[in-house]
This record gives sequence, C-alpha cells and structure tokens, in this order.
Amino acid sequence: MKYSKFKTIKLSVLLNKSECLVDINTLIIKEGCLQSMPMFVKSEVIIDMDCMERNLSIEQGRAGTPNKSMDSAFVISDNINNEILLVEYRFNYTQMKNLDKASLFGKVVGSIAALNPMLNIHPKYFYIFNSDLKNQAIRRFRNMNPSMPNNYIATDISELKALYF
Amino acid sequence: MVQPPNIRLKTENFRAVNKADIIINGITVVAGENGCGKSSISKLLYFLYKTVSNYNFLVRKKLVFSLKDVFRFIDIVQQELGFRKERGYRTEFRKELSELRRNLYSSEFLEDELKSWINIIDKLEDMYKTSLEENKSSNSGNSTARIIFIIKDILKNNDIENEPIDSFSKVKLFVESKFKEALGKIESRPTSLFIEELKSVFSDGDLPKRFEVLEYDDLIVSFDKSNLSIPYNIQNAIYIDTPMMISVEDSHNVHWDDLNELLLQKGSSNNNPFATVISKQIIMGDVVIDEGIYSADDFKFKRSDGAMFNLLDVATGIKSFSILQLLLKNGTLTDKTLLIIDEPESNLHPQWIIEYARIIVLLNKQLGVKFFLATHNPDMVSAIRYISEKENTLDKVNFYLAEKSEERFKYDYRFLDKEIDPIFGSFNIAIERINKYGI
Repeated sequence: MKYSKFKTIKLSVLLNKSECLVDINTLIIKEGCLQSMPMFVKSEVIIDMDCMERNLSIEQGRAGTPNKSMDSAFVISDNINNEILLVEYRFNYTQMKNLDKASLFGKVVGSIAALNPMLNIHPKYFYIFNSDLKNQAIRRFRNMNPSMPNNYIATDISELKALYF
Repeated sequence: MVQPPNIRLKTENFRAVNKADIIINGITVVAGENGCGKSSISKLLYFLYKTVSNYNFLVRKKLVFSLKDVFRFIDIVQQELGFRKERGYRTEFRKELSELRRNLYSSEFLEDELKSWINIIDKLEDMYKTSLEENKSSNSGNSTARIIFIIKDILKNNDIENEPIDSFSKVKLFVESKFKEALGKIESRPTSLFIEELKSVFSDGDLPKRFEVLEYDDLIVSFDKSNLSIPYNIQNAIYIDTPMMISVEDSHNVHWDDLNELLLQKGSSNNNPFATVISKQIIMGDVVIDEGIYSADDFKFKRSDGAMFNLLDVATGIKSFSILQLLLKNGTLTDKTLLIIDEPESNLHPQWIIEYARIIVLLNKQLGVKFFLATHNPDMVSAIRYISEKENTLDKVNFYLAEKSEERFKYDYRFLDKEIDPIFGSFNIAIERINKYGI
C-alpha cells in the first residue's frame, strides 16, 4: 500500500480537522529532521496529530490537557483497502536511554482514540529516528522488558519514504 | 595543528583481513562477525609490541639459547676434569658460571659479558692443560673422546682436532660470533626478529602482505623497513583473550604464559583506587596472591565477608575483573600500556558488561591506558560510546566495523569514528532472525 494524498485530505475533512493538514516536509523539519530538504517533492500532506489532539481537547472541554498522540497520520491505500498509518518522529533523540515504553504505547492509544477507533488503523506503528540512531533504536525496542511488540517499528525517514511514498 | 594519531596500524591481506587501517588514540573498538580477523589483529598488535618493546630482552634470550650448549660444555668439563677437588674452589667456579648466565639478561653491556665468557673459557683451558700434565705424571686417563664429541656438536663441525686443547680457541670464536650477532641486532634492531616472532605465533606461517605501524604519522615498523624503531606511546602490551587463562600452566599459548607471569608480579599499588572500585562496587571482594611455601604462588579470591576461595573456583566473571585488579595492584597499567582484550564481555552478566566498560573508560581517562577491544556485544559498544561521551573522552575513542570484502572470506575494516549505528546494523541481523524464527 502507498500513500494517498487524496484520501488523506478526505480523512481530514471526515474528521473535521482539515486545518491540521500540513506539508510533510514542514512537519518533519519542525520535529528536527536534519536531512536535506525537500525530501518529499510531490506536495504530500499529512495530518498533524498534535494539532488535531489540541483542537479536539478544546472541543471536548479539556483545553490545555491534550492526550498523548503520535505526531502524524496519513492514509495508505492499494485502491481496495485503505488504512491510516501512524507515525511518530524522534529526530531530537540523541541517546536511546530516554526512550520510554509507556510513552510509546500511550501515544498509539491516544492517537487511535482521537482518530476514531472505528477507522481502519494500520497495525504497524512507525517511530522515525535519525539515520545514525536507527539501528540502536531497533535494538533498544527489542531489549525493552518485555520486548516491544513487533508491530512497533523503529526506522528512519528514508525507509519510511521507500516503504510508503 | 591537528595532532596525528598516537598509533596507526595498517595491514593488508592477512588471514581474514583484507584491509585494515586502525587508529589507537585511547580506546579502539572493533566489531564484526566471527572469523573476520579481529583476533588476528589483536595478536599482531600484541606480538608487535612484545617484540619492539622488549627487543633487547628477546635478543638476549636468543643469545642465551644459542649459548646453552657451550654453557653445558663448560659445566661438564669442569666436572669431568676431576682435579682441584678443593671444595671452595669448585663452589667459586660454579658461582661464576651461574652469574655468567644470569648476567646475560641483567648486565647493561653485553661487551663486558663477552669478556667474562672468554675469561672463563680461558680458565677452563688452563685447567685442562694442568689436568693433562697431572694425568701424564699419574698415567690416568681422561674423558677426551666425550669432550671432543661435545665440541663437535656445539660447533656443528666434524673437522675438529682429536685433542680438545686445540679446540678451545674455536669454542671462543663461536662464543664471540654469537655475542657479535646479538650486539649487531641490538644496534640495528632488524625487522627480521619481529618476523621470526610472528612466524612462531601464526602456526600456518602466513604473514601480512603489508604491515605498517606509524607513531604520530612516522613509520616505526614496516616489513619494507629493515629496522624497527623504538616505540614511545606504547611500551608494553598485554593481551587478554579469555579469563580462563588464569593459573593455567604450560598452556602452549605464549600470551597466556606471559599474562600469568605478569599477574604474579608484586607491585606497590595495593591501594589503587580503581582496584578498590572493582573490589567494593562490583565483585565484592579482592584478589590476592597466595605465596606458596611448598607450592607455586597461587591466586585467591577473598570475598567481602572474609570467605576465601581459590580463584580457579570462582565465577568466570569475577576472574575477568580480578585480572584487571591484579594488573592495577602491581602497577603494570600506565599511559604507555596497550591493553588488548578480545571479547571483554565474555562470561559477564549484562550489568557487569557495563561496569567493565566503565572501568575501561575510567582507566583510559585517569591513567591514560590505551585499549584495543574486539567485541560482539551491543551493550559493550553502547557503554564505551556513551560513557566516554559523559566522561569527555570521546575524542580518543574510535570504532571500526569489519565488513565483507569482494573476496570471499575476507573483510575490510571500516572506520566509523564515533558512529556506532552501523555496528548495531550488523548486530540487528540477530533480531531479524528472532523475528523470522520466533513469534
């Protein structure tokens, strides 16, 4: 399955959060990606989940106390099936020791709640690290006790792009 | 001005190593799969520094070996002559002989020792002459035939007169030639001695196609250079490939014997702070040398509650730390030491792997000890990388990864500087396999 701009925009409209659509390059720069830009050259847009959760918290009368969420969501599709891919960016990590398992799980739970559990969420959740920490992150995920489930994927932005764009 | 590397080793086409260009400034960590040649590089480094740093000793050792038959000859002749039975005289002569051998190692000038050897052979010759005279007058025989055979064997020459007295001068010439050879080697430090040493270590006799060592970018050792320079940055090397070597006698592994000998050395640093950290914070005990009265010296582990164990019987992880403790206590580890450790993580619980890495980083930081580590362990790699960063010594740490070269079964050593992620990429093949074979 590959990224679908049309369906991602449609999802934002369905969720009534089209104001949270953002160019993927803009979001990953904001999250601290140091790769040369633009990495994505087809005006790809994704949903800024922080924006969505913030706005949702206001709507739900809990302004100032947003739930934890993944950083972004977008739709991948093979024209028959459509799934929402959740992605968290960890470019600002310089060391693995600060990786917190509860926080990693919490972000997925918060995002699913925000998006609407009825929607089709892709079962793999992506955590994007700088390329020079990717392999250490993979090892750290495995070494956590108990080990992070296999559907929590640590990788880098190039691999995400190769997989879905 | 950017300081050139303290030590830089370049080798090509050596066993599994296709190409390696390795810098040692503080801590050098090499990672790679089994059979990529890490241990070959460790041994190469060890025997290099063992040779170049103990060059004079090795030359003297070879001299002693080449004179051993002469020594035995002197001993036999003075015994067989059977004259001058006065006890005082014979004791004096034997003392002189014993000193003769000992001084080959300890005396500052070999030229003086040559004089002593010639002196003693002259003295023997005189004795022999006197003995001949006495025998003539008493008509008793002597063991001429045996002595002739011994001289022929020493000189590897059958063309020897049948009267030993005429051959003493040839023995003296033989001794002189051996001394001159040794003096020449000490003077010129030929690379051939190192090559001989390597040939004796690598049983299959294969030597690197290229081998160079540079100190501050100056070539100090090379197979293409006829002489070995005197190294400055590293003046003694220690090689630990397994803690199981402790107390093993006649192992047929030269580096095990060398290390056991080193561990038994007495020193004056019993209150070394790092030895105390190991003792109080990690292994909860202290290693001591039990000086045997009726047996050989042995190592004991004294637990913090007072219980005493033979070091051979304690956990292997404790042995690993005990080796460091002993080296610290006897003052062997200095800023001119290269400590080569193959798989330092062997036999250690994960938390002790980190403690071991911490001790390595601190020894490098505080004492300036240099390390060459070959490892398979992600925790060891991470710990060295991040503890060094915290201790502000990362600039002296270098990582390398052995990667398959185009030629089958050969590896190139990639310089990673401070980047350890490619090493993790290699380790993570294991995770892929778990995912493949497991749930």
